[in-house]
Amino acid sequence: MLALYPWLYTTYLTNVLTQWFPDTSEAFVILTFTVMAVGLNFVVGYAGLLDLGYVAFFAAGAYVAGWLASEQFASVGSVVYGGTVLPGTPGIHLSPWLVILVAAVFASILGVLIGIPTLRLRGDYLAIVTLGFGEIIPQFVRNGDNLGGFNLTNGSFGMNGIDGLGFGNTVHHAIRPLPANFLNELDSRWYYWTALALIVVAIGGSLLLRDSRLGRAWIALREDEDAAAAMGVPLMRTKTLSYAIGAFFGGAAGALITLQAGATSPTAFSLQVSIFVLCMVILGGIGNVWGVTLGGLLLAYVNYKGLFAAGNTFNSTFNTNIDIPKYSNLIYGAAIVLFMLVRPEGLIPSARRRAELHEADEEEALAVDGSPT
Amino acid sequence: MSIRRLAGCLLLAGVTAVLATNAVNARPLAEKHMAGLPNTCSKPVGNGKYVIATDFPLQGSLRPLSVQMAQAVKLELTKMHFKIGKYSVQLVSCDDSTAAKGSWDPQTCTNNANSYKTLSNLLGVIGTYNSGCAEIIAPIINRAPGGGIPMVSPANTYVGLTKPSGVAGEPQKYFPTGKRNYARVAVPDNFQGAADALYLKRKGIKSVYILNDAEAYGLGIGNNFERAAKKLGIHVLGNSKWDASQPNYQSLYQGIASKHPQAVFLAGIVSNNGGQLIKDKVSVLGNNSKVLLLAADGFNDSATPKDAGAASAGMYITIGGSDPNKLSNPTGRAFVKAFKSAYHTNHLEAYTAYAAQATLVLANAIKKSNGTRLSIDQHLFNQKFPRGIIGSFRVDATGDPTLAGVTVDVVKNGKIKAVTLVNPPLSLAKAALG
Amino acid sequence: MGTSPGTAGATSSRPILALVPRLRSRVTTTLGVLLLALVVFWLAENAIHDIRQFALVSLNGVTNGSIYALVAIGYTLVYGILELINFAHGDVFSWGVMITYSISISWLGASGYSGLALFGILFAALLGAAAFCAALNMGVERVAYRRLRNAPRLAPLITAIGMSFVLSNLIAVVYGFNYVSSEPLLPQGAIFTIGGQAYGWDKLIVLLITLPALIGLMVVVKRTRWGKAMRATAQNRDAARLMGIDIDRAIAFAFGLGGALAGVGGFVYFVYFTQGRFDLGFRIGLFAFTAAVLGGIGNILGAALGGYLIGFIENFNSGLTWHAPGPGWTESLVFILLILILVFRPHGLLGEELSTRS
Repeated sequence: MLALYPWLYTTYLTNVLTQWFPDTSEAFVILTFTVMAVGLNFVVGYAGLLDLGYVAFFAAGAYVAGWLASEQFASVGSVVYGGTVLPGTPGIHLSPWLVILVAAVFASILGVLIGIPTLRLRGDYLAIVTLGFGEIIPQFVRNGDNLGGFNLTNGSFGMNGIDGLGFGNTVHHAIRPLPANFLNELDSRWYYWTALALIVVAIGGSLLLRDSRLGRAWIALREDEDAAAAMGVPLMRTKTLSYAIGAFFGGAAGALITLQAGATSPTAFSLQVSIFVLCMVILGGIGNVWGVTLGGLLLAYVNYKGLFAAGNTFNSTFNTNIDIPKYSNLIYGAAIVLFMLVRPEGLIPSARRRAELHEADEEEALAVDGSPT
Repeated sequence: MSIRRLAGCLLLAGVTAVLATNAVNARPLAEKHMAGLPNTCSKPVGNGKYVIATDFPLQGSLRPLSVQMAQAVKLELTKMHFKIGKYSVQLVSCDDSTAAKGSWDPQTCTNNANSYKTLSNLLGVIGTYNSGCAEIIAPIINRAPGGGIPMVSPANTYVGLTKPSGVAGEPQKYFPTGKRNYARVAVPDNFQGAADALYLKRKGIKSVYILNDAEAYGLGIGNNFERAAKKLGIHVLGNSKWDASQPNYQSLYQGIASKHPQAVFLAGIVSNNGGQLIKDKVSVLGNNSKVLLLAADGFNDSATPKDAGAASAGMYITIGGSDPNKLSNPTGRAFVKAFKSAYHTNHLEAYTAYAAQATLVLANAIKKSNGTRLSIDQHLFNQKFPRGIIGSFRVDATGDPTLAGVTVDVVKNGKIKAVTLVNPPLSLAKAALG
Repeated sequence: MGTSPGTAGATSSRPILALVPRLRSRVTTTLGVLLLALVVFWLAENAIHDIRQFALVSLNGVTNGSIYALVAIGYTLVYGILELINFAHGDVFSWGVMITYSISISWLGASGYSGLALFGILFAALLGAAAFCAALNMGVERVAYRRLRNAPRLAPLITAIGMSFVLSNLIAVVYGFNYVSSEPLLPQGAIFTIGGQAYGWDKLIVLLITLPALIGLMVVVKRTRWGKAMRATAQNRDAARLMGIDIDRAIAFAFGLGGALAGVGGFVYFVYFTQGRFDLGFRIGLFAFTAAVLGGIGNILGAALGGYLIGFIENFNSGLTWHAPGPGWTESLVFILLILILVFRPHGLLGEELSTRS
């Protein structure tokens, strides 16, 4: 159904409701951010570890894409392997699909490396340390143009001229309908489909893992760390795996969005991104993959399309000339607060979470004054 | 739960209202907002078959500058009655900034570019202001079907957009099809860096300390200046970053004070805590006649004297090109007069005249073309403007203007006033490139 | 240091591997001592290199650290009582800066006065900012947190983030997106000079406002009935309720107190740096919260200590000339220090073990 969206958009929606429906390029961005939300849900929702530095993995993925699909390392000569550029182009140019995979795995490894020293910490101490990593990594990227004389990241200039996504010429010649380079297509429908595929993988992975042994271990440790350890759940390994898997999707999303934009720079990796994705998870219904997906789609839509659309409609309906972007963040913040007050469990709360909560409520009620609050 | 019910009602009411207005307005909306345009764009002016778009950061501290640039483009098109050669056009003004950042935003630039790409009747883009945004937009619209969408910037000064700058792949990587579609009329940073160094030399300065804001523009012009200064024999005592979110810079300047520079050069933009940077410079190193303070065009903004107050008195700020309010050639004077009367203002911002000139560069190429974008792209280059608004110049084969003049301004009584025009020799500008 | 009590070793349940944590603790202790020695060496080398520069930069560190300390206490009070990272606190501080600007510059025109009149205006601005921020913080608690006290624990975190957006953007709506700025308000004259550089009265005044505020807070928390009620609530909310303490009022009191200190911090910020902008609270808030964690969250003295520590790092890093990483690395250094401290002392410098609520 969702795969038909680009067709639906160009056939019907452009003419009527162009303000309200995201075009394929915007829909791509919305989906990619939702992938990150589903990824973060492994850490925050399943394993119950508050992570305020998810942007670190996003950045890692983005820079892997920059390294492996641009002229950044022109000094090594020309390494073109299934890339979307012509043979002989200077720099490393791997097949973009491989780049996404490598970026995801790289982010996972980074997740494990960050996890080993820090996952021993409990509760919010862990949260602030992840926040620290989320700040250190962009700063490292910003200063990475001169690491002992070596230019790793291009520093503040960021990387640009990054290859587009595509099937490459070989595949294109064999199967004509598959474009060699998505950038040469008129609209972003192929990007959209790629993001859709990634989100299907993320959701599928979530559902599979949730019901696996590992998923049960996460829940056990989320509910009571000491009890889980006593029952033989290997805490460190379980926690680290949640980090690695969460980081996997963060890295993949970072690479994908970079390959689409063709550029990346340190300004794109602020704490706000981590917070944005965390809001998606909690707003949607922490621990419930469908809720998180819905939360991600909704919040990303509001941020990239809804607020503009609402503003433009308001202005043209009432013939006003209000500078809507001036108030958009205010409205956005107020909407989050209001929403959380009305539905503290999120859009679609997970059944297990609800049960846990309910239990806590009952305990509290009994312990305190016997009246339900 | 009354709050819950109230919120529910509000939400319902909101959704109903939106749906209702949409149902009523479905047709007019489609007419008001052209399908495919970025949602950051205004309603079009004029009703021609083809489209010209401007792309500037319309929010934040650069708004006054951006608004005047958009107005200048509109003025030029109005003079032509929205008809370029045999093509009738309409003008839309698009925004590449977000309110939250108060400056240009990479994701917004990407989305704008992707929307431009889908518009088959878009003949050209006038913009951007920020080089960083142009670096994103240029390669995307370069791949548009039917030839890259022509783009002429009035204000991009980053060297690597058109000529090799030392960064791998520049400038080819901005033109992935191999066919260029980008030109500009702003003076590139290496000329400004060279002129800044030359001006310090003329002032008898022998040692200078450079501070950059760690962003692409600041870092770039800081490096250009450093190379030019070294070439001129000025002792560069250091080139370090300032952290825009640090509350103050007294310690930073105390570290610099121990090196006893005769001048400090600020390479960056004023909205990166530039006011505090100037205040602390004066409080630690002394006033601007004791230790000279020179800033690049990122500080050429009315915010500088406003934010820094008395501390900015006597500081020098440069900007590529001539003083926009005192263009000496007849075409320029006529433009300034027309602009002032059209928009009831008596002050032209730094790049207003350049925006008008950029419009003429694009319009001229459109006139000479056969109507396809590929043909317009070809005609962007090697154009001659013996009587241009910003002086007599040529657009060279890489899309750069053959202009070198850099105006030096000084802050006096809270206003930025022009002092002199510096013309750095080409050899020095080349040295600044490194 | 010893064995870290809060670390959850996967091995703790397996007696065969019981030696591992002890070994690890020895390794970490050695590493910690080594790192500490390195930092001390670096500071000493810089001090020998240019002692005057070192003294000047340290004095700047104390001045800037005061502001972090004032804001950090608000985080620590709220965290101690609700286990909530009050993301909106940095923006309450920003409001303190802006209200100080409004009262002293816009309404009373402080730049036109001097002497006693100026003192009066500034005193009014101080009281106004503290009162406004106290009320604002209590209002935030009432609107955004109180209803969620029994909700999933991440729900109030998200409303805190939302409130942070609301508060900072309200500043933008009222004061615009650009800086507000004024000419120096405090007397700049030198008290003494070090190597030709003046230590001005303005810096001393910052300390003369901060230190009494900090001491006053300690007294309120330790000695008054309200302070005791607050501490009891922080320790065990249910037991406190059974003892007849009004939990809602105790929590509101913590927010009010934290807000008032943020207001004082905002006042100090404006009169000392003479500028402000809507997004100011983000970085200050981030550092202040880090300071609270560094010092041991929930511990007031720890928060103040953390604030001064961060003030020192920031200024040492940008002002010292011998092998300093430079201002481009400040945030990284602060967070690396935080991570190191937490790895060696999982509950911060002065903190005690916290209960974990999932």
